[in-house]
Amino acid sequence: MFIIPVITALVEVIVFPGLVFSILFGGIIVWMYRKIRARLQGRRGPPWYQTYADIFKLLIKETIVPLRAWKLGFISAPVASVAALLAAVLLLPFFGKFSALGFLGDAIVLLYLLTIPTFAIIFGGMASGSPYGIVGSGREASLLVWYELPLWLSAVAVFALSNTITVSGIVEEQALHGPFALRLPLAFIAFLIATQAKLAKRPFDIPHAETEIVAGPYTEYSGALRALFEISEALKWLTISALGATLFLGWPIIGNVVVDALVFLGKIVFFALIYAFVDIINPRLRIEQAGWPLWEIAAFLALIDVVRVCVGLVF
Amino acid sequence: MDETTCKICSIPVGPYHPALEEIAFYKVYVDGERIVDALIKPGFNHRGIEKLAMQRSYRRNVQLFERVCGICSDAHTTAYCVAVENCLKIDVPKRAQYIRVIEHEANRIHSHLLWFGVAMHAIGFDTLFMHSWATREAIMDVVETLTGNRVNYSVNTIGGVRRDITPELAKYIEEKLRIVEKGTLYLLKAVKEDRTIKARTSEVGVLTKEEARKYCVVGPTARASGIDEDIRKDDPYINFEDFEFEVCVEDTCDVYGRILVRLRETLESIKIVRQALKNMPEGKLIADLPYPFPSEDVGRVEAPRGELIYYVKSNYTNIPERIKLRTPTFVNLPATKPMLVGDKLADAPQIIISIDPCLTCNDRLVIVDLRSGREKTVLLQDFIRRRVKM
Repeated sequence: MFIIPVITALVEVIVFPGLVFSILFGGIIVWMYRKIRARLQGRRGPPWYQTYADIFKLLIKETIVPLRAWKLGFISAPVASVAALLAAVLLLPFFGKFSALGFLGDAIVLLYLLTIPTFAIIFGGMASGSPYGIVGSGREASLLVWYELPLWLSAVAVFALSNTITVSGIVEEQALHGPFALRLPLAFIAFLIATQAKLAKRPFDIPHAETEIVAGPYTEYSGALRALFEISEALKWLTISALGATLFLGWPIIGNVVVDALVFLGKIVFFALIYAFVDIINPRLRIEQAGWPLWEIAAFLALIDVVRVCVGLVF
Repeated sequence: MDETTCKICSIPVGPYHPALEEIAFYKVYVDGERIVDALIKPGFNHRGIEKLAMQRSYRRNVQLFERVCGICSDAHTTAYCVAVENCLKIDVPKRAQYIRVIEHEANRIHSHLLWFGVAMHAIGFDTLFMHSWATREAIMDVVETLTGNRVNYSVNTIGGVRRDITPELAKYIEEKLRIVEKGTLYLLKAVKEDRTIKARTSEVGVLTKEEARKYCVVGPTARASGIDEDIRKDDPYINFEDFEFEVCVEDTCDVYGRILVRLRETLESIKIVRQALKNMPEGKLIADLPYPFPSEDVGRVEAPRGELIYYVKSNYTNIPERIKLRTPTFVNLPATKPMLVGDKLADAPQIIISIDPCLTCNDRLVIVDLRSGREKTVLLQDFIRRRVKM
C-alpha cells in the first residue's frame, strides 16, 4: 500500500496546492487587483478570465531571444523563477497547520525559495543585453538589499516568539495564543512594507517603471518566456500573501482540513488586497528614496520587536 | 565625454517610448543613474505644413492649421486668425471675440488637465492620472457641444466665429464648469498634500530664472521659473483686456512648480470662461471681409504650452504669400538639457514631460536629405519651380 502516499504526493504537487491550483488562483488574485484598480480609477476593468487569456495569448506568440542575449541565462531565468515559487507553494500551510511538504526548518527554506525569483529577474535582465534590462536589474538588486533586512528581521521576531523554525510550529503557536499580527504589530508593519517592495508594487515598482526604462528586466522577453514571468508574478503575489498569512495571521485553525484550506485562501486574498490597495493609492518612489522607508522605518520597527521578544516583553 | 567614457552608458529614450506620447529621440548619457549629458533629436514628423499653407486660400488654411497640433488646435487657429486679421486690418465683432475666448480657455483647460494626467503617469501615479482625465471629460463635453468636434473644432474663421452660444448652452457650460472646478481643486489638493508627489517632483528638473531667460523659455515653463510673462496680459489679443485673471507664477523653478502653475492656470481659465459667459455682448458673429492687399503682420497667442507666433504676408490674391509659425515647444525643447543634466535617470521622463512637449507641431521643417540622391533634390526643385509658376 505504498502507492497511496505516492498518489497523494503527486496530487499535491500537480493539483492542489501545486501547479494547477496555484496558477489558477494566482490569476484570480491578479484579476482582483486589476478590477479594484479599475473601479477606483473610474474604469470598468477586465472580465474574470482576462489574466488567463493574456497568458494564453503570450504562450502562442513567437518567442524571440535577442542576438546580444546570453541564451542559457535568458531562458533559464523565468523557468527558475516559476520552479522556485511552485516549490514554495508546497511549503505553505494550505491544510490547516500542515503544508504539503513540511519538514524541520522549512520556514527558512520557504524564505530562501521566495528570494530566488528576484535573483531570476536580475539574472534575466542582465542576460538580455538591453540597457533597460541592465538598469532595471541594477535597481532590482539595490531594492533587494534594502528589503531583505526588514523582511528577515520580522521573520526572526516570529521565529523567536514561536520558538520554532517550522511552518506548522509557527501556525500552531498562533492557533493557541492568537495571531502574531496582534502580538508583534511592529514586525507586522515592517513585513508589509518589505513585502510590498519584494513584490515590486507601488511605491516600490522601481525595477520595471515603464515610463523610465520600459519594462526593466522584462523588456526583451516575449512569447512563452514572458508568459512564464507573468505566471511567476502571479505566483509571487500568491506566495508572499500566503507567507504573510502564515507568519502573522495563523490564528483561526478549526481542525477540519477543507474549512481550514478555505480560511487560508481567504487570508491570502486579504493580504493580496492590502498590497493591491497600497499599490493603487501611491505614486512611484525614486530608487534612492526607496531606501528610507525600508531601512529607516521597516528595519527599525522589526528590530524593536525582535528586541521585545528577546527581552520577553511580548504577551 | 572625457576619460570616464567607459563608465558612461547611453540610454535611448524615444523615438517610441512609453513616457513620450510623441516622437522625439533623447539620447541620455548616464553614469550609474545620474545623467551627465543629453542629446535631443526631434524631427521625426515632417509634414511641410507651411508649404501647404502657401497653396491654400485664407479660409481653407484655418482647417489646415488646426491640424498642426491635436491638443492646442484652438490656439493655432486663433493665432492664425489674429495674424490674418492684423494683416488685413479686419475689425472682429466683440461677440465673436468673446466666443473665441471661451473656446480658447476651454482648450487650455483640457490641455492642462491632459498634461497633468500624463505627468502623474510619468511618476507612476496612475490613479490620479485617471481622475484627471475623467475631469477632463467634462470640459471635452463642453467643447463638443459648443463646436460639434472634440479635437479639431473648426469654430474660428477669418473675421469671426462660425457658431453662436445660446443661453441654454451657456447654462450647460456653467454646469460642466462646476464639475471641472471641483475636480481641479481636488487634484490641486492631492498635489499639495501628497508627500510622495512632492518627493518625486520638487528639486527635480531645475531651470533657474537666469537660465530660463537665457533659453528664452515661454509659457508655463517660464512662469514656473519665476518669469512673469503671459501674452494674454502683456499683449492682449481677442479682447483679453476685458477679463480679470491672475498670471500664475511660481518661483520653485522645478517640476513641482510647473505642475502647480498649470493647475492654478486651469482655475483661472475657468474664471475667464465664467466672465465671458456673464458679459457676453450682443452683435454679429463675423465681420465683413476686405479684398486682400500686400501687407504683413504677426499674431501672438498664449497657447497652453506658451507663446505661439504666426507670421502672415499677404499679396493681392486670396492665397497668403508666406506663412511662418513658431510653436512654443521649439523654444522650450532645448531647455530640457540643463534640466536633465545632474538629475537621475528616473526623473528623465517627468522632466521631459514637464515642458509639455508637443513635438509633432514643432516638426515642420523640410530637410533635404543629400544622402538620398540627386534625383530627389531635383524633384524638390522642380516642385518649387512649379509652385512659383502657379
